[in-house]
Amino acid sequence: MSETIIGIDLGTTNSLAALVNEDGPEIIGPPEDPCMIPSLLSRNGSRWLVGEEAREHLIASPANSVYSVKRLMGRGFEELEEEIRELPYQVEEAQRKLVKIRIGEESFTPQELSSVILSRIKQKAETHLEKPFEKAVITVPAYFDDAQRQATRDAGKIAGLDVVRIINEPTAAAIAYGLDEKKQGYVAVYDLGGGTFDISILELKGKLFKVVATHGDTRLGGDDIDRVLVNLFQKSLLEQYPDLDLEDPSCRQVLRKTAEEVKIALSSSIETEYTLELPDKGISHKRILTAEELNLLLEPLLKRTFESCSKALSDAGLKKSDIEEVVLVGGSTLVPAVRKGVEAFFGRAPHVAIDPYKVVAIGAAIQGHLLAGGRRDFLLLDVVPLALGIETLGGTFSKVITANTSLPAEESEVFTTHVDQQTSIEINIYQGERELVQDCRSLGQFKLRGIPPMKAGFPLVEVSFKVDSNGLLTVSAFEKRSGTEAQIEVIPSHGLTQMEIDAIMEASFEHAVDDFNRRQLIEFQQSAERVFKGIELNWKVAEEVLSENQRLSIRKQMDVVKQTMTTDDAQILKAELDNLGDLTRPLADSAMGRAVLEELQQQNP
Amino acid sequence: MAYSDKVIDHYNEPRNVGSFDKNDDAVGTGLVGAPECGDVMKLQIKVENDQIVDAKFKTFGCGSAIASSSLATEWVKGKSIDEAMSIQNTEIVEELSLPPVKIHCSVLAEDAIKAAISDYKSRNNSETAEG
Amino acid sequence: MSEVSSKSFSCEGCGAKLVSCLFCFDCSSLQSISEESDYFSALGISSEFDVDPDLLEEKFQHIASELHPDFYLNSTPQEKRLSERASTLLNQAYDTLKDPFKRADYLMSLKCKNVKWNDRVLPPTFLQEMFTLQEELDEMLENQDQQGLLKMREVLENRFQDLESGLLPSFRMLDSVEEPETVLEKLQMNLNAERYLRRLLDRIKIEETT
Ligand code: FES
Repeated sequence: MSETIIGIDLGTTNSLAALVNEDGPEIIGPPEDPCMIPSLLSRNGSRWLVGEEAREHLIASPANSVYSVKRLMGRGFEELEEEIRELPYQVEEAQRKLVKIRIGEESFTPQELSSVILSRIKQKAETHLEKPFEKAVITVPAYFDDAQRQATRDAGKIAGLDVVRIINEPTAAAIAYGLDEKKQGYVAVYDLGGGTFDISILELKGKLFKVVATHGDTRLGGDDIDRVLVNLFQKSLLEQYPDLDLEDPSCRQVLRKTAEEVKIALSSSIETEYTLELPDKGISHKRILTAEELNLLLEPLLKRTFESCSKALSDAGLKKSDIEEVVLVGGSTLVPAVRKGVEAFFGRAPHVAIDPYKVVAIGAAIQGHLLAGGRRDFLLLDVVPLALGIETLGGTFSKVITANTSLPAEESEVFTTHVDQQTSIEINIYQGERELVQDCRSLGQFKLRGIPPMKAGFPLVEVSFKVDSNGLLTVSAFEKRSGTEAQIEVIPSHGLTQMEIDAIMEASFEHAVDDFNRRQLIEFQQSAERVFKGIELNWKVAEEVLSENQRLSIRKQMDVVKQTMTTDDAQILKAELDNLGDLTRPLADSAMGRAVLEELQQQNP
Repeated sequence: MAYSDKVIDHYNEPRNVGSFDKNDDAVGTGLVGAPECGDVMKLQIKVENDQIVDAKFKTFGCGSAIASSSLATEWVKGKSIDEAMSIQNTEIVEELSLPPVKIHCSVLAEDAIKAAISDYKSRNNSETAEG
Repeated sequence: MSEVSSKSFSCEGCGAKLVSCLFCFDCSSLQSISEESDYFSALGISSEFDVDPDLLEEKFQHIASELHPDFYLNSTPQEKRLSERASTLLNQAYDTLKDPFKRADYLMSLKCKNVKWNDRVLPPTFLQEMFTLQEELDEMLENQDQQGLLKMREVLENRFQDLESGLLPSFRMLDSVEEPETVLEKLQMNLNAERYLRRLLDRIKIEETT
C-alpha cells in the first residue's frame, strides 16, 4: 500500500479531513464521528477547547473564544482594521504590523490558532486510522496570495504536519467532481465558503485538469451573509431599545449565532421566526424574516461574486455559453438565493451532486493519493492566482509573472546598481492586479547582498522569481559578470520568519503532546490505571474464582506493566497490557467480575 | 528602494499634459511608440527663436512612461533645440531610478523629444521636403 | 535561406532517440536541460510556424503527465528539482507556441540568431492611427459608450485575424529567400502592430469587467 497522505480542508467555519482507501475517497472516521470539526477555539485556563466543545464557550466566554481565524491568516493589522471591529475577540498589532489574537494574558498568531485546529484534526484522524501520519495536502482559497499560503503552510508545520502540497479549494472540488462524473470541457467552480469567495474555470481534457482562470475575493463569504443579518438585527433592536449596547461581546455572539440559525432555517423554508434572547438585559426580541427579504439583503454580495465570475471568464477568453457545468462548493451555496443567482448568471442549473461541505476535503484526499504514488489517472495543472511583481517608480507595480500562468513558473529580471561600489540592492515584492503597489499586497522586502563592488550600472544581477507547484514564491539572484550567487534575505511582510516558527514550535505545549507515541503512551497508562483499579476492586472475587497460581501470575504481570509504564515505548506497554488482559480473562468471564470486564473492554476492543 | 518625492509627484501629478495645434509652425510634434508594450506617446514643443518656450505631452502608457514624458517636458522648457536634442534616456533613468524593465519607457521619452524637434525643423526649413 | 532542421536528441541514460528533449519515454527518465533545449524540442514538434493546435495540445498533455512534480514527491532532491525545472520549461514552451504571435516571435529569434533587422518597424501612419484610437477610446470610456466599445472591439478582433493570417505565408517565404531581412521586417511589422492593438483591446476588456 502507498503511504498515507490525507487531505485537509481548513475552512473558515468547518475543518475536515479525508483519505482515499480501498473503497475510494472518504471523510475519515465513522459517519457518527467524522473527522470534521467547527473551526472554533476557546481557551480554558491553559487548555484549548476545539470545535464543538468550544461552541458552548463561545457565548459564555466570548472574549476567550475565536472563530474565523482563516480571515486573519497572512494579513496585516492595517488592512484588517474594518474586519477587526466586527470581531468580538481582541486582535492586536504585533511585530512588523502582524496581528495577534489576545486571549487573557496570552496572545497568539493566526498561524498558531490554525495549528491548534489542525492538530485536533490530526489527532482525530490518527485515532480513527490507528496509526500516526505526518503528510497532508491542505486546501486554500484559490485567491489566497503568497503570504496567506505561507501562513497556512506554517500553521501545518506548527501542528507537526508535513504539508506536501497546498492546493486550491475550487480545484480540489473540480478533481472530486471531474473524476466522479468523467466530464470533459470547461467547468466553472463557484465556491462561496465561510469567509472567502472563489471562482475557478477549469478545462477538463483527457487526464488533464487545467485551471485556465481564477478570480475571487478573500473577504467575502458566509460570514458576510451572517453580518448582513446581524446588521438587520441590530437595527431592529435599536428601534425598540435605543440605548442598548450592541458592542457588548455576549450580545454580539448572540446576534451572530441567531444569524447563523436564521440562515440555515431559510435554506429550507420561505420564512422563519427568530428570537433574540439577551437575558442579562431582560430582552427577548421576536421577529419574522422571509426568504425573499433575505434575497434582497444578499443581492449586493452576490453581485460582487458575479463580477469576479465575469473577470475570470474574460481572462479565460470564454463566454458563459462555453461553460459545460457549474459546480457549487461551500456551505453558503446551500442558501437558495445563492443558487438562484448562480443559475441566473450562468443560464444553467448548477451541479450539486457532491456534498458541498465535503467535496473540497475529498478532492484534497484524491490529490494526496496521487502524490503518494497511489494513482496516475489525472494531473492537476494550477495557475498563479495573482500577478507577482516588484515596486517600481513612484509606487507603481511592475508585473514579473502574470496571473493565470501555469505552475510551476519562473521568470527573471535583471537589476543593476545606481552607485559605485554598491554591494546590495533592495527589492520590494508585491502581489496583485492593480497599477499601484498601495493597492497590491506586499509580500516582503528582498535584500540582495554580496554583489561584488563595481562601477554603478555595471553589475548584472539576474533575479529569478520561481513559483512552485504549491503556488509558493522563492526568489534567487545571480550576478552574471562575476558569476557570484547573491545572498537573499527575505523579510516577509505578513508572515513569520523561520526563527519565529521554530520558537513557536518549541514553546508549543500542544505540539509536544501531539507526538503520536506520547499520546498513545498516555492513553495506555491511563487504561493500565483503570485495569489495576478494576482488579483491586474485584480481588475478593478473584480469590473465589481463580487459583492461587492464576492470582500470582496476575500480580506478577501487574508489576511488569507497572515497570513498562515508566519507560516510553507505547507499543511494549500495549503488549504487556494485553498479556495482563489474557490472565484476567477468567476473572472477567465470571459474572461477578463484570465490572472488570467492562474496564478491560474499554482498553481491549 | 525609496523614491524621491519629486519622482512620485511626476507620476501622480504629471506636468504639461495636453496639446498644441499641430499645424502651428512654431510647434513641433513627436509621435512615438514602444513596440515592446504597445504604448504610444505624443510630445509637442513650442519654439521661439530656437528656444523651446513650452512643451506638452499626452501618453497612453505605463506610469514610468508618463513620468518620463512629464520630466522630459519640464527639462526641454527653456532649452535651445540643440540642447534639448542632447537629452539622453539614461539621464531620465537616473533621475527617476527606473529599473531595467522600465528602461524602454524612458527611451520612449527621448525618442519623442527627438521626433518633435525634427518635425519642427522639417516644417521650418523650406528646403527640406516634408517627411 | 534553408530551413533549420529540427534537432535530434538521444537519451542520456539508454541512448534511445527522444521525442521530447526533457524526458525519455523508453526508460522513463528525466533529461538534464541544456542550451539546446528549445521550446520546439521540449514539446517534440518540428521547428516551423505551421503548428497543428491539436497535436500541440496532445504532446503537451502526454509530456506533462510524466514531468510533473506531483509524480516525484518521493524522488531524490535532484530529480525533484529537475522535474520542477522541466515542467516550468514545458509550461513556457506551451504558452509560447500556442499563441501564433508569440510563436512567430520565438521562431524568428530561433531561426535567425545571427541576422539583424529593424525590430521597431511599423506600417506607415500606424502610430497616428493608434494614437487617435486611444483618444477615441478615452472618450468612449468617459461617456460609457457601450455601443462604441463593442464596435471597436469587433474592429480590433478582425485586425488581429488579418495580422495572424499574414504570418504563415511570410514564414514560407523566409525558408526560400537568400536575404531574409525584408521578410523578417515584414513579420516584425505584424508582431509590433499586434502589441499596439492588444493594448487597446486590454483597455476595453478591463472596462468590461469592472
Ligand atoms: S511599459 Fe510601455 S512605456 Fe512603460
